[in-house]
Amino acid sequence: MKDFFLAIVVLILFAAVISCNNKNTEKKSDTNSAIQSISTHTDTVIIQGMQFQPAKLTINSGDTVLWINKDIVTHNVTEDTAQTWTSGDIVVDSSWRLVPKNDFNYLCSIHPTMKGSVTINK
Amino acid sequence: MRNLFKYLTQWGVGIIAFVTLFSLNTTAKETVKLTDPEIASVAVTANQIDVKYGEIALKKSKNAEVRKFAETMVNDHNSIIKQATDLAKKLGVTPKDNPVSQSLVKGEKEIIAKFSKLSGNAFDKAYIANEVAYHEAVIKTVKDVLIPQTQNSQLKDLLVKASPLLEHHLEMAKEAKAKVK
Repeated sequence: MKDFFLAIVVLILFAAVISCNNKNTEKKSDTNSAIQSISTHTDTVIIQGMQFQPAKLTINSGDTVLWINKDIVTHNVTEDTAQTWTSGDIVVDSSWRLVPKNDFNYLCSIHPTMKGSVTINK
Repeated sequence: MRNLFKYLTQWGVGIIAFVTLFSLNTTAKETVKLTDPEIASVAVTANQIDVKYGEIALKKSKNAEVRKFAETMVNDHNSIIKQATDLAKKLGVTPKDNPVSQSLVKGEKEIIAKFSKLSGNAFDKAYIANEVAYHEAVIKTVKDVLIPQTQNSQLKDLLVKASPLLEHHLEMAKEAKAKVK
């Protein structure tokens, strides 16, 4: 009888673990299509003084780019050519990350003179 | 209409002249200098005024360019107000009324009275023209009076950080002015 209850407990725990994994997968798939799984290396762009620093960033394929807003107002990261995607608002002292698949130019659509680019090493 | 633009230009020049005179006087150490509580008052007042102008534009204008600019002004200046008031609270500083903030409020009342008589394209032009003049005046005040006289390093840092934003707003206003015909 003890073995039976132990088996039930193990089954319940196993089901719970599977359920958690599914939730995590769903959360990842909800994000922007430009975002891939989290890579091991992160390149940081600081938003400060109405500038992206560095404005021109070169990364290795699979790297994560992290934008941190250290400015005094809300900014965003928006693809520049056709504005196909945007980070949405990055409020003061918050950040947004992306694993780029391709090179792109971007701007802050709130303050359009703020521009930057990301180039992936080939 | 010509009279309004003339008025707006004169008001902008008037503020700059006031600030310049004030700067010269303070350099000569013959007049009252602004204290940190007074500087906090000027900073908050200047931002509140531009929020007010933006809110009026959002009520009166149907021009997409003008509305987008006004929305940015309201959001950005509200953000600065929040940081300035949070910092003042943290430092235990109570903003204190003074001749510079009084001058700003006087100008605000006169501009709002002029705005109330305008609508449509005439309002759009007047609002954007005022934004150019106002930002030029405020940038000069911040650089020539507020930053040099601020004693507290955190308050000075906030004013220094606000300068590129104000310069950016001025460029946005000039671009909008060129588009609003």
